[in-house]
Amino acid sequence: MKLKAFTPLIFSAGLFCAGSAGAQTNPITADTIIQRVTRVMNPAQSKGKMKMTITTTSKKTRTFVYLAYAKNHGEKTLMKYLEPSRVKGQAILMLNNADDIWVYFPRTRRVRKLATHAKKQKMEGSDFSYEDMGAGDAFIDEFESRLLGEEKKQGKLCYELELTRKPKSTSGYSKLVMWVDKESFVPLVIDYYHDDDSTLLEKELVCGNIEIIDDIPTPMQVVMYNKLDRTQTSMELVEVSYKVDLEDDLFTERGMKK
Amino acid sequence: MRDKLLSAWGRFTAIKSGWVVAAMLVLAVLAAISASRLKVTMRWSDLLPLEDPMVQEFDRIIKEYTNASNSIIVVQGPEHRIKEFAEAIVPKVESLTEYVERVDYRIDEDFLRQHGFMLAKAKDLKKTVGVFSDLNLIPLLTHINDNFEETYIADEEALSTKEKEDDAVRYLDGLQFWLQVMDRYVSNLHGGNSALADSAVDRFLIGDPYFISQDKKVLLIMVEPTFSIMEIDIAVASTDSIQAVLDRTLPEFPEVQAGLTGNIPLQRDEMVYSTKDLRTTSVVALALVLLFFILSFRMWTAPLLAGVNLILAIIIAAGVGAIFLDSLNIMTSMFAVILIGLGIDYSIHIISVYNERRVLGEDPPAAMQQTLLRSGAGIITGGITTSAAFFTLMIASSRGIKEMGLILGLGIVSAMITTLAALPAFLVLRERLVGRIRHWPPRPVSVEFKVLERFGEQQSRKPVLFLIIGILLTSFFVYQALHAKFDYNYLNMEPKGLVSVELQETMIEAFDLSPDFAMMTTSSIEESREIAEKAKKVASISLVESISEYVPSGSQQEKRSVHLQKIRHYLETNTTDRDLSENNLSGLIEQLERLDMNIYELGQLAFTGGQDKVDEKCKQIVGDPENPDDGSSILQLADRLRDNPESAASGLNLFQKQYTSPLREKAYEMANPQAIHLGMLPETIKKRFMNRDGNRFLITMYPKEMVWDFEFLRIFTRQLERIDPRISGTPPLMLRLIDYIGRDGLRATLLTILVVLLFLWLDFRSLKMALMAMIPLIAGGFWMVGLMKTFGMMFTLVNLMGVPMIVGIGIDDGVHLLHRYRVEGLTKTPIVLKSTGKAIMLTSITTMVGFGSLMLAKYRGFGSLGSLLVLGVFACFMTTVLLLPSIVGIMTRKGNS
Repeated sequence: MKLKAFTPLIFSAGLFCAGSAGAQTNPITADTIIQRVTRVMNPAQSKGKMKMTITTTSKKTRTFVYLAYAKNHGEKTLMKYLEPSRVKGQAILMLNNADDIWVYFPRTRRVRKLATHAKKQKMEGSDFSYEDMGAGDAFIDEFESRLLGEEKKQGKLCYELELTRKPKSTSGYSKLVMWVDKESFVPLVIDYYHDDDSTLLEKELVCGNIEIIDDIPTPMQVVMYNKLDRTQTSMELVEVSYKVDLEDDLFTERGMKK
Repeated sequence: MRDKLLSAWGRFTAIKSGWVVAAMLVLAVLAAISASRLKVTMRWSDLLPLEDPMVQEFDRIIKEYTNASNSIIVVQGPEHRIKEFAEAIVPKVESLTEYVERVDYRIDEDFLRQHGFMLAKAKDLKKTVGVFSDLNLIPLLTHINDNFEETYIADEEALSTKEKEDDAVRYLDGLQFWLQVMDRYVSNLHGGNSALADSAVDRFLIGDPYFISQDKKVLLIMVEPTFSIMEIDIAVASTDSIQAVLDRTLPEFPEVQAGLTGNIPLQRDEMVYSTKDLRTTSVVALALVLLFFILSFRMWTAPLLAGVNLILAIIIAAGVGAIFLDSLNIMTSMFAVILIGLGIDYSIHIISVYNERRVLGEDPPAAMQQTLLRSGAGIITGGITTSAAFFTLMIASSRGIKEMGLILGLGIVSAMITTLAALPAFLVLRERLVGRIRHWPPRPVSVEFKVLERFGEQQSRKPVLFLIIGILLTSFFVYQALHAKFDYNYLNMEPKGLVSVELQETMIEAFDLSPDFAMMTTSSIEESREIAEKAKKVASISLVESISEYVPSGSQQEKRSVHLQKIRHYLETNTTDRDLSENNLSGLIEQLERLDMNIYELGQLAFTGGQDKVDEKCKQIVGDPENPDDGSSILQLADRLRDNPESAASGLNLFQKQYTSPLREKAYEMANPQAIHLGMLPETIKKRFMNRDGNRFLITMYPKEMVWDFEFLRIFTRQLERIDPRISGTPPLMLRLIDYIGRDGLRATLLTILVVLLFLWLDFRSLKMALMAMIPLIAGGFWMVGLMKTFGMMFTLVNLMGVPMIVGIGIDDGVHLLHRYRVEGLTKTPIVLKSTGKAIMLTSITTMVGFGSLMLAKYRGFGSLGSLLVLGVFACFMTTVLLLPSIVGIMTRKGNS
């Protein structure tokens, strides 16, 4: 339950203009790229409807549709399930970058606090974990980045970056390799390497179908492949809006029950 | 010199045929005596190099720990019947003391009853202490709810690993049983005695004692043998004996199905099927080859003699092979069939030429002299080249390829010798014998194939066209070959429908557990603990068994002891029984409703978290939220309390009375704070984990999926290596084997090609001719793989070993054709194809027939090799008759111009 509700899907251009990399006069550095990626991945506010398909422990697939709200660059997130009917109305509230998580069950009308602290943990049966998408400043704070070169991914020219875990980092990955679209600064592919084996590819994230929503390049489809569990989770953005003004009241127990 | 010797030998065998036959028979008897000690083993690890550390570790574990070999009885059916079946069959299996060391079908209850709580984590104990503070029903349920919420609702991590998910299911299962028993007391269906309450206590404290699946439909009985899997004969006898017990017992349980799996039954099935297969395919190969021979040559007795000659060759090869080898492995066990396909070629040459000479009117000694003069050299060259090619395989590091090279090399030499010694003598003796019986000698027949002659004429006229066709076809097959795939699933090499294989899949479905485990040994319990803890975190591992589970560390025991003392204190002090009445039933109902909510919420979390087992178990208790007709059994119980409070209170008071005493006693015993040390473990547990000297400890790690899916095998093995590179077992060994065979196969194939080229260079005394002879082989190799891909076949671990073999086999066609060109002249393609083309066609067909018989094998690994070799021989024949005459034709034209 560590992932900010739809952090992976909401990339805000916010402080940069599309195509600005091409206008650079000085060679761009790995640090600059990562800073821009981080800005893209942490929108101020957002509201969206998503479809998430997970692989269950008995290798079946299960699809959920939910509404997701995020505020303060993902510091506060609320997910409300719409489908399937069994979980309709069930809500998950994550505060303090998902350090505090509550779940609301409409049938029992109870709100339960889930005490949890592990960044590496799976979110809602998915193959995503909180840090997978570099929520907050994780890419900057936890890793040293190095520009490896340029390579085409999905037909787009990308920066290829290697992010190596800093000595005192608490990240659950020893290394990331990331291909960042030169134009939009959306990471099109991220390879996540195992906690204690930097040669063992653990997961791979692929972002696709990028659309400009409210002037922000947004990947409408994200798939996380877990190479060790041999499972995958796909997230599809059904609708999204970044020009929203979300009340703080939404991110409360009352907001969960509404 | 060679011609003189051959000529003299031909004459000698014809004149002294009786002596030659007698000498060969004596040799065969001696060889048979030697061969009789050869065993057959179907273990994949026997294909690996002995000096490989992983193989050594595997063999050591197999020898030192009999439980590293196992038989598993998989029982399926309704819960109560499969449990009854288990109780009925276990004593019968245990009575097979010759084969059975121990039978496990229930958890180690005695040890758990004495020390169960010491084996639980301090964190869990801390939460559980409160449950024992008051055993009366309402406080008990209240504390269960408290504990439940703290463990499973408030801590999402509780379900985050498979082990924890299984723990949750076990906990829920105990709770479900408790509630069911409670319901029976409420409904006055308890039968009056305390056994029911007692069983509820057991289930609550220990769980279901049987090795049973979550849906209660599959039960496992583990049979530990008195022998190791290396003792194959005993493995077969043991499996048959247990199967006989199953067969005798099953009719009494018509709703129950039961079968055997595990590495011993699988080994037995492989042995039995492969032995049957080899017997059948050898006979079929011999019969078909002889039938074809008879039809082609329109003769009866001569081909039969060729068959006898082959049998002699096989016996001699096996006898000589037994000097170097103790046993035949998966690969070498097929040598007889392969030799039938290959060795018959030499006989065809001898019989063909001998007939021709006899038709010309020569007497037997003269005809045999001429026969050996004309075909002996070819046989010797072919035999030496092919055997050299096979012997070259001995450079391989894997025993599979190395021993195959040895036995086939010996086989070819042996077939060459018997064909040059025994067959001529047989043929002459046959004529004498038939002459005596019929008073006239048999009439020799010469067979011709006009088709090949006409094909040769066309090729002579339009060599460029035929070469273009050849190149186009070769290009297509090269393209196809580059897309050929490898089937890494060794179970696809087993016979179809094998019970022992199908039950492996049943086990995976029911228990998320594959019986193909990995294992390693450690020198201390602490080391075992370290390895086991690492292994438990690995996603691809379903279950880890280690002695450290039974002997927690000193610090762990110290922490746990504090909680155990608290539990004992509660059990000693809070002994007041408080009866339920109509008035305080509401408190109980409230707790039941709370429990319903807790289990419902857990189910919802499990549903969104994709933890199907927990979700399923929750649904069994509180109903399926998606099915309004499926109500909660807890709420139904609460309703019954409301509907008939007086009777319910009376029933529950009896329940409370009957369970408190055993619960107190059993929990008190389980909360024994005394530290556990190795010496306290019962022998049954020690034997499972310790070697005979008591200084090594076994850890077994079960994969959660079928390891023969290559992608999973790679991940599983990679993760094992990360835990500890010493880990062995069938899955890592299989990956190691794939590596070896890939490496050896390539190296051996290249070296074999070089050796063949060298021999041809020496034989032709011309590098150009030697290289020309290689063309059909190289092109044929691509054709073979391309044809495989075209027919939807894949490389397998078994047929991959056939690739270097085809080098030795496929080279013959080109050599014979070029030899004949040298005799007839480069412009005589029609004659060359009519005569030598006929011979290579016949030999190719007989070889294909021989190898083709392997395709009848139930053991699909043999079939895959048979298919590859048939395609290989066909491909080499086609490329020889299509490419070589065309190239020769173009060269001739160039030369003329």
